[in-house]
Amino acid sequence: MKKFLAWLLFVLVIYAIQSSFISLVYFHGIGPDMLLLMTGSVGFLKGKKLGAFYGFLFGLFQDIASGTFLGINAFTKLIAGYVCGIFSNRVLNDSFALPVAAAFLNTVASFVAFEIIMMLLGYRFNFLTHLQLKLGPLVCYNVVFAWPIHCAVRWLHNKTADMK
Amino acid sequence: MSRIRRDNDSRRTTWLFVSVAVGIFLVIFLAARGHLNPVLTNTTVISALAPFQRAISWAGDKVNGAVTTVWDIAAVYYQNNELKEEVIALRQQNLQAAEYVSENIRLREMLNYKQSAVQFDLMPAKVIGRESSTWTSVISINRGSSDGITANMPVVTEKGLVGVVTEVSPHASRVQLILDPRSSVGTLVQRAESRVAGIVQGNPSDAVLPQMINIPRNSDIVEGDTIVTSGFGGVYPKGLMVGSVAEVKNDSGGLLEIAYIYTAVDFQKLEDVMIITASREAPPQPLTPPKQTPGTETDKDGKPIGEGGK
Repeated sequence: MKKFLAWLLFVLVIYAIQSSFISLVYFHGIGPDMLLLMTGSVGFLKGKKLGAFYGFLFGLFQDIASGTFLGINAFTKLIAGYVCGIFSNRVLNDSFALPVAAAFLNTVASFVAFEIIMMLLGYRFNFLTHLQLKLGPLVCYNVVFAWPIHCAVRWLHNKTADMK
Repeated sequence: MSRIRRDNDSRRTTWLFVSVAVGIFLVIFLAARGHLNPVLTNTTVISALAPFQRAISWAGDKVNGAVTTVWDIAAVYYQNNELKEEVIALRQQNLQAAEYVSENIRLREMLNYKQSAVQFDLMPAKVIGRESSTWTSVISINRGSSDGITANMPVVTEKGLVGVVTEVSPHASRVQLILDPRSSVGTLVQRAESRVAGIVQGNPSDAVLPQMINIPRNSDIVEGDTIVTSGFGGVYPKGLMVGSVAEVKNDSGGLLEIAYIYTAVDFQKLEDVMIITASREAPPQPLTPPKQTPGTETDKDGKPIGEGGK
């Protein structure tokens, strides 16, 4: 229970920071997706099962909190957490390059998944323009925030390791 | 045995994952079309988030305010430096513009004088130096023998006589001002009833107030009389304005009078001058017939015109 509350508090704080503080430095309305970064880090630290589970919860929370299409973040983060979890036993979790590279790949993959879902939902837009105007800043922000978020997640992961 | 269990676990996990993913994928479409509402309402999550968002937003505002203030101060600092540089540049520009305006006015006046003084060939020159001597008044100009300047050429401005060229080098000349005690200018009173002649020379007692000497006592000369060159001596052409009488005093010898002259030229502001390189007799002014009384007009032969002439 303590563990759950600690993670819940952590998610609330991170999301609040993302929506209330980081929004001050948004570039054309684009800012970092810190919950996606958390998902990747959790996947690396906890494995694919928990990575997918945490990713699903983070995404669901984000869907509800942000009022976007329900399930869209839950879906992308579920996959991101699962895929990152697959590599949990094969990479060095303390590496600086790991969360940065994961942030880059997760961001691109999530963005493309978002775009495909939106197309399937019947929305029409210029994909190339979106790549330039939205994906570029998003990747930059996520790459910058990847390492601090990974450190924070690892710190919480270590702190809550002994909790029940 | 354990390996088989691990494989089964892994396969089950994968299937579970795929099922969940497909489920969520369907949820997205159902929710997007309004067929599904979340069990956990948005209100609950928003309420849980609100205190954190409020606190972080408050902190963010403070940080943003501080950063904005620092940024503004930095911006003001750099802007201030830029404005200072701009002010200096504009001041220089302004000074230059004022200089051009002043020069323009002077040159216009000189041009007007040149157009009106048709009896003279004038060469413009700039004052490039001024001797700071107590006893002499000499200036240097930027014209010399290469420009056709020779000694004893009179120098004027549009306001009146300045002096005479005394020394000539290829590209510069020295001009002795009429304020110099060594200069002597043959002059006379312009007033038709007077026409008293005298010599204007520099006043050793007052460097800006030359004196007109050799005036016979009881001559018709009064304060305010205009003094012009007489043309005697051959250096200065006749009719150049010298100044006006400021004061008339008796000479210490008792036989003559001395008139002190306000010069027409302001020697403190002497920047551009003209050298008279040649002079000739001024052409007579064209005669204009006097205005005739209405009703008594006559033609050039004196015959009445109009109704009286019929």
